[in-house]
Amino acid sequence: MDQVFLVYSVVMHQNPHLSSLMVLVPAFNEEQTVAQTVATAFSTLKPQAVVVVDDGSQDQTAAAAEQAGAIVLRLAHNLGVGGALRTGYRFAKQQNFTRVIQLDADGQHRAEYAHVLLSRLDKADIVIGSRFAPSSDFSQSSAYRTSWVRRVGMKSLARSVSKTVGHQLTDVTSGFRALGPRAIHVFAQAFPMSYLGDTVTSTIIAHHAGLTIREEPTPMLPRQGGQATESVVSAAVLFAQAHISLATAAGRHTGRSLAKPGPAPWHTSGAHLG
Amino acid sequence: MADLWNQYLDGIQAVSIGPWLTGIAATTCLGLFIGWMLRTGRIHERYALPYVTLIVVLCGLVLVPTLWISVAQWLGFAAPSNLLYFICLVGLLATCIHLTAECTQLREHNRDLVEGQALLTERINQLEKHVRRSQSRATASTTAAEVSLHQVPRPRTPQSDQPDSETFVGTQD
Repeated sequence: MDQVFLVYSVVMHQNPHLSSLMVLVPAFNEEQTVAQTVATAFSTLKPQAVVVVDDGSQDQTAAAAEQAGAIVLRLAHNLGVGGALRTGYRFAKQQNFTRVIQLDADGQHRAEYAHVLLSRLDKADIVIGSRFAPSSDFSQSSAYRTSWVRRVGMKSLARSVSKTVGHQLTDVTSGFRALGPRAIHVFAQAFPMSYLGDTVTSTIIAHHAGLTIREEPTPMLPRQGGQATESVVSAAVLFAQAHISLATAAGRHTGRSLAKPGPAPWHTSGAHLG
Repeated sequence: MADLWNQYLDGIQAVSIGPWLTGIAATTCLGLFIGWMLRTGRIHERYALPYVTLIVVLCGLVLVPTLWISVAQWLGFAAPSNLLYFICLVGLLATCIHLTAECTQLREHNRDLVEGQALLTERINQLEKHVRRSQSRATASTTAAEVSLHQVPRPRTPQSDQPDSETFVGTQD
């Protein structure tokens, strides 16, 4: 069994001494765009692995991603973004990846901005790519368009989360994030499955686990293809759900005992996290 | 003692005989049904508890119908049946909440399993790829195949616990 594990580890380029980067792409019925997303991630970020978590897609998402060179984790049935992401974080933890970039499969996140997010990981555990943060690049910051229901919902959630976290966050529903080793450690154990839990509630969990959360402005591209997950009408209901989850999230015990991450490396003057 | 018995019989007579017999029949049927479900493993003991409680309460009601009436009067209910409806609604709500909680827990367990299965499947895929590669190398060179397929892990000393990079160098893409 040990022998088997070693083979796998080497295949997966496991190396605990190097800082290794994994790109994590949750995908549900994204066969049109996932290959392009994987290819762009490989070429711009040069990660050790691109992991696509196929969230029970009915189309050829998994095959397309595999062809593009990604490692594909196939969920037996649809769990929602939260389930897909935690699978990815469990994988990252198993394989000792120290940094994760989380991208949407629809190609709206611009991989070139991931470098900016990664560069800020030296002082934070989670860096969120914000679509609303004031950016010097005005021509592009207006590229993100959405229905007013979603926009209002996103803004109000951002306000509530900012209050909890204690500093200004403009876009907590963004799925474009960079995570350091401490964040991977926390999210491999506890990651909410509810709608918007993947972004909103996870941010609260991270805050309660003592992680540092920052954000960076990242303009988005218009959707490259496929369909948005939910209709405009249901968005209001879903945002209400997210608010309920947010209202009950403060200081709760999940029943699961959460192993706390080690001290932040930027607090312990150069100590390295294994 | 005889006084008490006479009082009890008077109480029974105060309740109309039709509904009383219906009550006895329904309680017996429910008891038998739940008993059968439990015996044949169709419901878990854990979920049978509310029903067993219900049967016990119903038995009490059927045997001493006047007790219920006095309790309702003591609590200030205008009609004894109102107390019954109230208890019924509370019972139904409690059962629903219990089932919702169980459902949530099941979803969480299901999620753990689905995630774990995806991770294991990927691991098996990688291993199969590795084995296939070893086998194709084996057909290319029989002597090499002898080595790679029948390679037995060397006995480990504490120093040699690290991955032996030389052995697996050919497995990387």
